[in-house]
Amino acid sequence: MLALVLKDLYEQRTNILFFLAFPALGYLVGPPLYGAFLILLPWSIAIRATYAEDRGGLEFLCSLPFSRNQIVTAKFLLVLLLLLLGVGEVVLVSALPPLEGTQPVPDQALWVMPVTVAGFAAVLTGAFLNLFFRIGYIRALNYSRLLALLPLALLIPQVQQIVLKSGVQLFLTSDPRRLALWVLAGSLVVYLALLLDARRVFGQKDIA
Amino acid sequence: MTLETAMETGAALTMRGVSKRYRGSRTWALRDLSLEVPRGYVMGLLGKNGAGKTTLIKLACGLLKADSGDIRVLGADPERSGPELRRFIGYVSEAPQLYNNLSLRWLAGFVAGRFPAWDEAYFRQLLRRLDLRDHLGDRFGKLSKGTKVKFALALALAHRPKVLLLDEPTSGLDPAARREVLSVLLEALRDGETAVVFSSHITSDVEKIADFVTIIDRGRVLLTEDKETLLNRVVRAVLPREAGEWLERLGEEGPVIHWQMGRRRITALIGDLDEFEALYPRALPRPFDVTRMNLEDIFVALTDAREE
Repeated sequence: MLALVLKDLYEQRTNILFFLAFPALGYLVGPPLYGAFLILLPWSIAIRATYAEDRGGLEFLCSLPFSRNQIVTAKFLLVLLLLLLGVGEVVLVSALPPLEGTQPVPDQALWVMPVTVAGFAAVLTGAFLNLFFRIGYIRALNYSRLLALLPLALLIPQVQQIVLKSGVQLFLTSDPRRLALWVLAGSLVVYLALLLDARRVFGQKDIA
Repeated sequence: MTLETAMETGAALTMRGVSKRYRGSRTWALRDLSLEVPRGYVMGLLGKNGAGKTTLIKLACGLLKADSGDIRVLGADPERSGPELRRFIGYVSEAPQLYNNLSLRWLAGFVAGRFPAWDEAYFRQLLRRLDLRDHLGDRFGKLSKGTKVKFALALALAHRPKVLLLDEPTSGLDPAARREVLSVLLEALRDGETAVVFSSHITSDVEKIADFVTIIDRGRVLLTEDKETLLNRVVRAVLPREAGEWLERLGEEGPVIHWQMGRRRITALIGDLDEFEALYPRALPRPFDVTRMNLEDIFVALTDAREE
């Protein structure tokens, strides 16, 4: 299975390096860019890696001595690995002394924001991978794009008001660390469920 | 039975009553198909587009799941024995698509790591033989179709598989590349250890390398037979018009596969010349003209006869 993860990392090396440059920009611009980076890194790499599988890679892999479970699990492991890498880089960059004229990163943003966003990114990318192994690349991509647009709903004033009224904001300001850990734990449970379901479905699927 | 025991005793490929229908399709890709490929022999698979050749090969490789029937590769079930069994199988698809961003050198290392029996010296020899050495640093996506097929073939042969599944490997290649691929294949088969299932539209390729021939049409086996026997047995005969009545009485069960009434004479496709001569009425005019047929003639005549 490690060979499969390494294959994806090597194949996507240019794209991964490109995305890893984002936090350096975030250092100049501020924390919001870190959030975008943490969502984009696993999601984009997963999309590019599955595109290669869709173009014939999957048939090639399935004709080699790999089990279907290994193929699915390797993709989910790749995403976790990228998230770890991304969170690590964001935490590292956030801890650097602020540049002259820029806002210092708030204490809670050091790990609360990256962990919370990583949880969302894990679910988003896990859902995409699950759909890929279930219904194929094109349809999975379309559905997951819709899912990725969900946070944009926060830009709508009415939605903002609902969110504020719901008390999430209160919870955020009172104990953001606890919230971040709950989000992370919940995301990992959902991610694991998506992985197990993808393994079950792909095990029965035709590679046509 | 363990995988090891099964693999020592079983034929290279056995299919019994295998049916397969793709999701959302009304027609059967394969219907109640049975065939056997002994170890060390080459089975040429002939069929028109959509006849079921690719489905058959993908089922044998475990890429597809059969709706019913029993499939054994080296005595083992390809669905259940999965990765362990595939260590002994080589597969080349019609248009091999590996990873466009990866170099041939990297891909070869990746595949070599999966097969305990990978023979690096033999792989180097195949690269030399197929003029691939200069391409090792190239990305797979930059190669021409012919080079892709040759590289996929080298990967499939280098671990010395016991069963080689080739899905139209020569289609779309220029004559020189086709000849190269076939000659490498023939060399690789000299040891007599590897069984091959080789599907193709190009009947001359099948005629060149196959020991057995199976013709499939619309998911069913029309014929499966030793190639030499088939070429000796099936002939085209030109008969006098008077034989028409007798041919009608003979029906489909007799040695005549198909016949067509012309203005002056009858052209018949005879499945078994000896049987036909024994049955041919003495009262009818003789002699009649008999022409030997090549594999392409037989293939076209048989599939056309079925359509009519």
